[in-house]
Amino acid sequence: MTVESWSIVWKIVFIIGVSLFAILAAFVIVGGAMDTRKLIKRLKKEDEQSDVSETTSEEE
Amino acid sequence: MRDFVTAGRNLGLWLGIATMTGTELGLITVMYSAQKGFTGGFATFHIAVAAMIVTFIVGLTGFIVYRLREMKVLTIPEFYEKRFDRKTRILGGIMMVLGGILNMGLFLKVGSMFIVGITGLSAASWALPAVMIFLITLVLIYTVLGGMVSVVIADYVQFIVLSISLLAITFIVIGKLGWNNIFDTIQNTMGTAGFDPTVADGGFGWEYIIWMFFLGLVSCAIWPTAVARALAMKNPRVVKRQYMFTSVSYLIRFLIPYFWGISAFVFITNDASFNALFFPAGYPPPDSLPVGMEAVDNLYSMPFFLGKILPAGLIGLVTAGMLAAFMSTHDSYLLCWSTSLTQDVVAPIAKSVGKPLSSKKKVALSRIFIVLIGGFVLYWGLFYKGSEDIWDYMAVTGAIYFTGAFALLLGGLYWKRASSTGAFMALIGGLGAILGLTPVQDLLCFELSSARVGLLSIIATIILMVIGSLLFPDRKTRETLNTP
Repeated sequence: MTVESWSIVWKIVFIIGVSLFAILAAFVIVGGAMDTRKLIKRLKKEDEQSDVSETTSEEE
Repeated sequence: MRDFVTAGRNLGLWLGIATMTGTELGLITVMYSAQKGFTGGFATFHIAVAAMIVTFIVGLTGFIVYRLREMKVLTIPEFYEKRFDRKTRILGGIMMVLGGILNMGLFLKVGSMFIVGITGLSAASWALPAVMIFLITLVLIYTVLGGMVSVVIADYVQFIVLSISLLAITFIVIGKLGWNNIFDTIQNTMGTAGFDPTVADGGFGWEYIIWMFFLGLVSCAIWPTAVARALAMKNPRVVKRQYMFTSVSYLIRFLIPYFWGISAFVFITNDASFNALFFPAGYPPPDSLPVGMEAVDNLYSMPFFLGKILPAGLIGLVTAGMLAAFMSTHDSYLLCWSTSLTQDVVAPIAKSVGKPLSSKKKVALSRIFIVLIGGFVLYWGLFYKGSEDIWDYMAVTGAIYFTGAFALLLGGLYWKRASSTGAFMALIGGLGAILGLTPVQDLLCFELSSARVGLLSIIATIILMVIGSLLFPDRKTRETLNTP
């Protein structure tokens, strides 16, 4: 391959790569916020459940 | 302990992508990639493409990571114990932590060099050690206090800052230097070697390309910090999707910093006074400079360039983005190596002597290890004197662990006859990769490229795994084979 051909290949790779990343970043920012909320909710729930079971076992 | 290490295996797809990108796109990645782009031009882009292709294929097939997640292990050495025996787990844990801690030995120094370079503080004075101490203290505090949940949430916030600053800076760089000017300058100065990665004159060639494809596989499917993200996902199917999407991040984590390094080269070579700083004997630089002549370390080229072209407000944005990259990598690495030391070295030994550790003790021990590793990273950054490119240093130190780990994961997951003796021999064989470090080569008076040392180490560990397994099969395998 000539230098000119390589130059075109890398230009295409760069443009497509950066565009895809911009789209991915938008999805991750929105989707990640929802995932974080769910994660925190679930961990809180698990914490409460373990608190309840600890109290029960102490009473026993 | 499970929550501390894998966030309770509760991560959704998007948060999984964010934390994997945040972990693997650190300031160290930006710095060593910019250095590679500065010296290798557009030909370096092949490394980014190789990383993307391999990560996408791993996502598509689930190679290694799917089965590991299915087995619900917390760490890779835990898999070694399930598949082989406890000895293999302990040795595997030691090798992993040894290679991993050496690998992150220069993170702090190089990250601090960015801050020193972009803010214009003198590299020779108190600035570098002071910035190093400040940054490591900051990271240690929140990693010790939080564990995986705080790391994942911090990674998400850092992903936002990082992705916005990466894209914004790239557009500004193109606007300042001109799209065509960047390509034309590389063509005029570096010629074919600046574009064609198959040309060995440019420092690459086919051997290097093959090595990069292997490193692409390692960094997504074998490297513990990346695998830890797969193990923290909700289920194995989400892991496959996580990898397919993250392949874009694996492309970008190299591509954009390479582009910044290339742009720094264009900016510096187009200005006589800057050119004299980095290439005092002209371009291309001679192998050794005349006595009394000194060039500025090319690791400073990219932060120096950004410091010159960006207005003050934007320098703040870049610094914030890069600090985000710095912290998201450090916290994950510190957590990974400390929990491995606890889970895979200390806990199995304690269990063997009849004193198993409670979950609380394990978390406390992991926190102590985080602080100790932080101290080591500070020490190593101040005193290590290697002369290789940072990328090559990282590849070689990482290879101490991953060449052996590759043979064990491949054999353990996909070959029924793989035995614990074969695994043990392969792990020990991985130590051969240390011959790729320049101080070791200087000591033993020989010279071999890091790519060749790495490839030879992989071949050696696979051969050792096969020979060890065939000559010394495990009792279970022997019994199965003897059963009519």
